[in-house]
Amino acid sequence: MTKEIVVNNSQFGTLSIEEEKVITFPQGIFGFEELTRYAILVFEEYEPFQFLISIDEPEISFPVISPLLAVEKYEPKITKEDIALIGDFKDEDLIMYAIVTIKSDSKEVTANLKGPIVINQKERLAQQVVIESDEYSMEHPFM
Amino acid sequence: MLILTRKIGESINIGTDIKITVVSIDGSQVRLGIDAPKDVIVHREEVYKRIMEENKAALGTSTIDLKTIAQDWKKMKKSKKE
Repeated sequence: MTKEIVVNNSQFGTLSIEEEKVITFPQGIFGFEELTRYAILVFEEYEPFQFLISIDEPEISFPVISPLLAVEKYEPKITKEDIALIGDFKDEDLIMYAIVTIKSDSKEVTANLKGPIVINQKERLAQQVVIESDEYSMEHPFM
Repeated sequence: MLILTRKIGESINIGTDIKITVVSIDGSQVRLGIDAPKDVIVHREEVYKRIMEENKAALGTSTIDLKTIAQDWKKMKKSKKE
């Protein structure tokens, strides 16, 4: 029987997350370094948006999308040092997400393609990576 | 803030595992080399700050707005297929 973690979020209500679905960010994400355990939430009514929710602080939940929904090709230069914390992986084990923001004034939807979340699905380890080059924008218009 | 003066080729040790070396100086630009263990993440300050701000801004995203945009996106995808 898989262990389940129950968390409460004011937007989504009570959520039950399987322990084996938990993703560990050894150094959290920028600005939230103390929060290391997350899960990805999928709700049909929000698709294509998904949510990266903190298990330690469930009110903290980041809307994310697959970068390929924002750009046709997403091939950022990421070195081994950039993703040193996510363990060993083969290319197919990796999945990337871009954090999405809706600016309150313009209602513009933008995706942070310069700071993607890189997840090693095999080890369930992840980190937020900074793409040093100017290839991609932190506020790439989504729609 | 601790202020130290270094010449090209000289280094600064931080803790036991981190070393910063002045590699070269070109006008007002200083090239720094950083030796640190792989679990120490090193970034240009302004980049780190901006991503942190962008992360925080993302938290303010209204889920109601997201739902509306999700619906618009699905409609747009559907109409593209037809």
